[in-house]
Amino acid sequence: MFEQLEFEETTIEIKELLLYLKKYIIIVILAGILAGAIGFFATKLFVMPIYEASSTMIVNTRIDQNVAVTNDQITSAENLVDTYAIIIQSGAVLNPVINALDLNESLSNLQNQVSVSAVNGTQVMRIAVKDPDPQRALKIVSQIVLTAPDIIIDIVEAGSVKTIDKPTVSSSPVSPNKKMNALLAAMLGIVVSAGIFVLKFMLDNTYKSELDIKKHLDLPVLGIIPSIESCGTKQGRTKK
Amino acid sequence: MKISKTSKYLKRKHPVDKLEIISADSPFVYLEAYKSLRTNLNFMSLNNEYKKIVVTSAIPGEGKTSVAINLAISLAENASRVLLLDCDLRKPMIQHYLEINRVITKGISSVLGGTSKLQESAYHMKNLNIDVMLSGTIPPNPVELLGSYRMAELLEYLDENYDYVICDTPPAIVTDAAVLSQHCDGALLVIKQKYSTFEQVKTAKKNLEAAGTNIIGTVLNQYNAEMDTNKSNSYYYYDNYGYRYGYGYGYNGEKQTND
Repeated sequence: MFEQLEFEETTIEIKELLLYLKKYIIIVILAGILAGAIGFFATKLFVMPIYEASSTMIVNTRIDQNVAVTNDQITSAENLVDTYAIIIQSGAVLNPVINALDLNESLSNLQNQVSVSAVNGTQVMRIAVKDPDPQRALKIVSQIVLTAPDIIIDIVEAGSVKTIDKPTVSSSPVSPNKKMNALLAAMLGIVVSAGIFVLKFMLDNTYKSELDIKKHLDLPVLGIIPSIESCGTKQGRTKK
Repeated sequence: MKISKTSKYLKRKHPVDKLEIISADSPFVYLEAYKSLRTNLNFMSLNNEYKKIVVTSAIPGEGKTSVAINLAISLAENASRVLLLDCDLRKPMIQHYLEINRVITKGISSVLGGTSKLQESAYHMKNLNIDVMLSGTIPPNPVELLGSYRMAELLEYLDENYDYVICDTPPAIVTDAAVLSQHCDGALLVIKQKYSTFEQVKTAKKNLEAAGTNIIGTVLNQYNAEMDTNKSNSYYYYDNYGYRYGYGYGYNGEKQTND
């Protein structure tokens, strides 16, 4: 009996909350739109666009011609991409690159700009460099592609390293993603504004309905006197 | 914390211009609300007769005086003899609201103090059809006056001569209402919508009951349906149906009784 009562009470409160929020739905939506617009323009104005130049390469391990290629070997070849990635990102490759291009940049900074990944889990690896200047990104990738094969072959004694795609640079910046940022900001705006209203609702401990009085005071409500303003807005005076 | 909050309310100016005194010109729903209050009060009187009624609230500004005046007028419309008593000896407002512009020093305090006779201290409001006794000169000891034996005698005397005595009092943050209600039949607690907190009214109820007050019930004042998120749960006249009904029957009937 008691449990059921309590259950009823909470459902009423959720219903109340939803009804309360319904009144402010337009404000919440406007807050979302506004935050989205701010997110979009802030991204456009204040975040530096980053361009990405990339190239693909393939490493062939030395394979004995007489032995059939086993599944195991292919798997290990794929795993090797990770190994090459570490080599490419290491000073062994990047230091010569810095020297060759006369870059005014530390090794660790360049390491952050360079990323190497396997394409769809194959032996093909994609080398990408991100930089605010597209031409500079292209130059760095080209230099890596030029420098890396010799060093890789030298270090791991691989068969050969070949370039598949020549280095190219994207025409539009890869980041920031203005749409995504706008969407995230809009969602944040909606959540925060709705949160404020929910908080306001939770913290409002004044009497708003007959039920509030019954619930909190356990006294009968003998009369509900409307405010004159609320009478006026709907109907006006009956006689002037 | 509590004290500072209270002092903030005390400093707040009385909402003087917002008072609506019911008349034939009042909006229908407003008139109907007081009629409903009057009817409910009659229902509550089945066991105990509620004739001397204290009107109070938890904090200032909830509309006690407004409810007291309009309840008195509404009761008088039912051909009852009604006396409105301004027992707010700290900040009397009835004279102001009823727009009695004369300087009046005779009232409860002077009757209790023995400086004026009862007959010359009450006034008949012709247009409202109620009698009014004002507070008189503001005394330094309102609680003692309201709790005095003489006050009890005065109310006893008035009880014999009137069908209803409606007492407007200070808010329950001071003990005036609690003390006065010991001589009365019961108290109405006025609660303004979206104004006083659960705690404030609970405290008021506790204090009144601790003093032995019989709280008849509450009046939810300054109600705006748009603020009420629980509307759907109330059996309420506030929808279109009620308005239509009002235009068809209620208003015309009301007009006739007032003419």
